[in-house]
Amino acid sequence: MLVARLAFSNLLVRKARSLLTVAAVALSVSLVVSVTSGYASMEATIFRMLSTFFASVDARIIRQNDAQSGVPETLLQQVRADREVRSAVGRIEYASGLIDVEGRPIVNRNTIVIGVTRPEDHRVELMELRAGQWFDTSDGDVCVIDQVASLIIKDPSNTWGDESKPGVQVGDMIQLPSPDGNLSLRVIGIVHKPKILAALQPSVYVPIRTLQNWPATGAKGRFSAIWVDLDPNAEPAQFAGRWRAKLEEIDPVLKLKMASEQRGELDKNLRGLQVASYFGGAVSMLAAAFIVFSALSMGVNERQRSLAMMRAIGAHKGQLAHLVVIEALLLAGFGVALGIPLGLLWLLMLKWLFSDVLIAGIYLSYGGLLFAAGASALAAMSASILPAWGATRTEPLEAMVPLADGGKRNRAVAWAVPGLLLACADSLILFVSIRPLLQGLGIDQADRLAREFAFYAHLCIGLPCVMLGFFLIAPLMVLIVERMVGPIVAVMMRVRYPLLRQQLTGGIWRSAGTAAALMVGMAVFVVLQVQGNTVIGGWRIPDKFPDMFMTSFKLGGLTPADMEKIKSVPGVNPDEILPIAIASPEFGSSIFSIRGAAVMPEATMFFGLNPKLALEMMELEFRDGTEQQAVELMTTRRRHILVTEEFRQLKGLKTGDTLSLKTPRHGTVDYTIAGVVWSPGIDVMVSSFDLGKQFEQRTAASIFGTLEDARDDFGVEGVYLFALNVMPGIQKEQLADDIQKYVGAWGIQSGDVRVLKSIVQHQFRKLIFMVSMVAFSAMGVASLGVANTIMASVRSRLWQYGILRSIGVARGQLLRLVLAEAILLTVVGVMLGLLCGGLLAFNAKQLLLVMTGYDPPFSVPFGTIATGTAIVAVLAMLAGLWPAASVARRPPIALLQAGRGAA
Amino acid sequence: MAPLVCENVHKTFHQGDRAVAALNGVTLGVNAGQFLAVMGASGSGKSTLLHLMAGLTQADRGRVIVNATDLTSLGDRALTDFRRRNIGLIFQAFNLIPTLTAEENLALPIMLERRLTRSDHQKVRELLDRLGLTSRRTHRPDALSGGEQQRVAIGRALITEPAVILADEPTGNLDSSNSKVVCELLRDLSGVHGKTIVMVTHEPSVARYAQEVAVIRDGSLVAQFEVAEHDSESLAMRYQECLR
Ligand SMILES: Nc1ncnc2c1ncn2[C@@H]1O[C@H](COP(=O)(O)OP(=O)(O)OP(=O)(O)O)[C@@H](O)[C@H]1O
Ligand SMILES: [Mg+2]
Repeated sequence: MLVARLAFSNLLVRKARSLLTVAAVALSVSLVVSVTSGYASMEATIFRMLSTFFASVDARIIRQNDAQSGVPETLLQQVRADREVRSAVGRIEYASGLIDVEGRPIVNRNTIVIGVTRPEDHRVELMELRAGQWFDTSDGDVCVIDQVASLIIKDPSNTWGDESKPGVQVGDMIQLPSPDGNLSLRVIGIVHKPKILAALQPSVYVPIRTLQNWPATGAKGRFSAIWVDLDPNAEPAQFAGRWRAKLEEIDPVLKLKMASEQRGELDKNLRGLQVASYFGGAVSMLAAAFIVFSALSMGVNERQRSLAMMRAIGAHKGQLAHLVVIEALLLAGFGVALGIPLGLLWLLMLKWLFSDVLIAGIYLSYGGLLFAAGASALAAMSASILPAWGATRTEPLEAMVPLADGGKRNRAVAWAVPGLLLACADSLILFVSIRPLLQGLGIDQADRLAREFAFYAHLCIGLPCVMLGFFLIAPLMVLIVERMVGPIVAVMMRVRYPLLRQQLTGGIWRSAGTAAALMVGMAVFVVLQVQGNTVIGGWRIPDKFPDMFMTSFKLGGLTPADMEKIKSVPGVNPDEILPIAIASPEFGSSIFSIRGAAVMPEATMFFGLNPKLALEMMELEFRDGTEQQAVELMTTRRRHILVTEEFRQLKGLKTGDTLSLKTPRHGTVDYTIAGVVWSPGIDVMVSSFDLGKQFEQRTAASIFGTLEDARDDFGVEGVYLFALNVMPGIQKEQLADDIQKYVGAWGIQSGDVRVLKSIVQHQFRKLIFMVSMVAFSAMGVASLGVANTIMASVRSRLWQYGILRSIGVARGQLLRLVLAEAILLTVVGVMLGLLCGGLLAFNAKQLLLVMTGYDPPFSVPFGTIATGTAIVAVLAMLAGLWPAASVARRPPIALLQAGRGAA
Repeated sequence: MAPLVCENVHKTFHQGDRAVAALNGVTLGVNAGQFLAVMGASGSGKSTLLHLMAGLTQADRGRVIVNATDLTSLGDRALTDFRRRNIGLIFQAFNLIPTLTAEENLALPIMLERRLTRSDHQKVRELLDRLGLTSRRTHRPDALSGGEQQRVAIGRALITEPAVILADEPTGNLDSSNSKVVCELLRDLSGVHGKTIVMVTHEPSVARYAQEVAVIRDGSLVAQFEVAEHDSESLAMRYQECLR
């Protein structure tokens, strides 16, 4: 009771400090709340979209690996005959190029053409029909389009689907392109979709027979999928069991996907994102914790005398510790109380900004709220440990001396030793594998267990240790910076160094706490930038690499006739067209997986190609085996593959070893490794090249086999993707552009490799930048701490400033003196951040190697980091400006009087 | 038994390799209701003696017995409890908590132990009245004069009805008129209310309010005499003699 009362009144006395500290907590709470709720809203949106626009369906039958080869139409009758099936319809999904109203191909933009069986297929009616009506037959040259298709076809420059511009109207004709002749359709209805969805992929709905009869789709006699709705009282599990067995008999490449499984998979993929959203919140929480720490240590320092008196008149050590902890909890409590509404405010802003994206409305994440509250309490408690301990160490005798002096000081520096040890813990976890130990103990799966250990120990022990370690190093850094950088800053700011000396070390823990808060954001920023840059920097396309990729979406793949057409495209080198078959088999035994964490998928990307031509067209760097030997093995024998370096790193696989893969045709089979190559990034290229539909699951790493194996083992009948070279000529770019327009008119997509690469890199950079916002918000939180520390330091020196002013030091000089302190503090934070970030980046690179086997060389974006540093510096300076200006403004006599009161 | 007894206490401070013997075997007894002034030159060991009596430091040798408890045998926790219940401390720099009102500062030792009861409130009210602070009840320390602050501090030392009251230069931060008020208060406490008080001072004018004076020189008790025999001038002279 007394303790709470004292704690509360202490906060009231230092209003500005308490407010800033509460603001820091509130800011991070609000970030957690808005980010987690933003995530929840996004998730809700995704599921809403799935049910409305992708129609949640009880079960779907599709083809594994080679999804576009589709499902035979004959299967539909069998499915309909099942007594548990209420209804079943075929659907066709065909990606097509677009032609504008004037008949010109629209480059880099394709549409999804959906064949629907009407009137049986009611699902389309869930969409909002803005004009016209739905067709009620399975044939006829009519279509329903969405608003974005309408806008883009009318005006291809309207990339963002601006609805104030004119679009194609009901009654107008549109055309879908194909080398065999375009399909003309009359628009009879226009549906409206959430903009984001429509902008990603404008859609055209066409009667299913019309689409099947159009040769371009290759869909004669097949569907992309059969959609099944079960009877209300059907047993989905029984249905699944029955049909899985049946499909296995008909054709093992046919797969049944139940809605629940689909949702489970999506959940799994989203979970990673959710964890990331919490992790982001935790970062700013950490910064807030350091600020709370800093505020508490200021308080304990200033109240040394009161605390000593309380001890003298009979307060227990525990009571003093309690006092500090309660103070911390009060700060956290107010922070939460303020932060939650603030977070809701951010959410409202999100809602307002993204109302057309978040169609399911705003969802409050109660988990996020709980996390915010719990994490703040935890942060406050941990932040109070050291100050509370300091409070208990107050000697009652200190109350007896007439004037307290701030005697004990640089002992804080000794903490650097345990700090350093803690900071090394993470590296130890990552660089020293426990695999030999596990193997020594005769534990099987030692490999996987060692990797799991490294992963979880890194997250749960390593990272916290690094942060704590660097925090403990902070006092030493404060001392070093004050000694070494102090004189320089003094010259820069035109103040006398002796006046600046001991400004920071005078309250070494509060400086350390604030520097640590700055460090957190800085370190996260450095890690993200270095790691991101290293990953994309590591992806370098070999000197010799195909010039273009080309893809069609024709069901069943391109026919020999189609191939001839492509060979005849002006500019294409007919001898260097490399068909690539793609499958996504699961590994026979676990390679990447980590139990409980959806970090890495269990499947790989299998590229079937002609090895001789492939190796002629792209120069692969062999890490094991030779090109000649590999080609020889792959062409003369079956089931020989090239694997990427990742496999060797992770599994120690080398030429001659085997790798087991699950195949739909022959079960789990062993593939022999014919060579190990450095990944040229063809997988990144392919997965970015709008081939997502090829894969029913996420994949990691890639392997190269033959077209024959792709067909015989994985059931890939058709080939959709080609790598090709243009004719040797001068203007490659121009040629690629021309080809793009040419085949675009046929509805075939093509992409210049260099352009693709720069798009991928650009997207990735954008992603890193977005994620870096986490770091910047942590830095924003930390700058509140800077203001706090400078204020406390100024307060403890008011009298000294009063004397300086009265003996003739000018206002401006005083302002610069205080600012110089802010600069020094920032330098400490930045140095710590760079060191900590550097170490973490070093560890992150090792983690990447341990987890995925991917080991790109370091690539540090010095420019970006310098910019980030400048931003922190400016932010921190601004934070110091307020206390500096307010002390400079006060008249000398006020300073003298205030100073006496403070002493 | 006397409420406060020091038996041959020794205390040496070590600073680096230099040892300062602050007390060399002081033996001293203070009877119930007695008001003792401890005098001595600066550095003679007065404060050290008082700290030992308060249980704020431990003697190297000898025993300090307060209210029949040997302080040298107690650990930190027990000592803290003991201090709270049996010793009233008055500081030179009043040491009030700036965020609490006069009344709360006064009641602090009880509040450290428990929630105030109705009878506690009653007691606090009475004490404030006795100290002439009723009108200042809800003021915070920064709104009180030095004399008022010290009176609050005295009230804080009294509220638990301790066996002994220890004051180290209680008038050190006060002007002469406020000093006088405080001294009279202490005198009445012992004379009228029978409190046992030990006060450290080096001013004979302050010591005159006590019943007895003990003089310490270089860590040893060199003289102990009744105040009543002296007027202020002769007290000062007697004190000077002891120091020579
Ligand atoms: N914590 C300490 N460490 C080292 N020496 C100390 C300490 N406390 C006191 N001393 C030394 O012990 C001796 C006695 O000190 P003490 O404070 O008891 O003197 P005092 O009589 O109270 O003096 P004053 O009248 O100046 O308050 C002095 O020489 C002092 O320097
Ligand atoms: Mg003294």
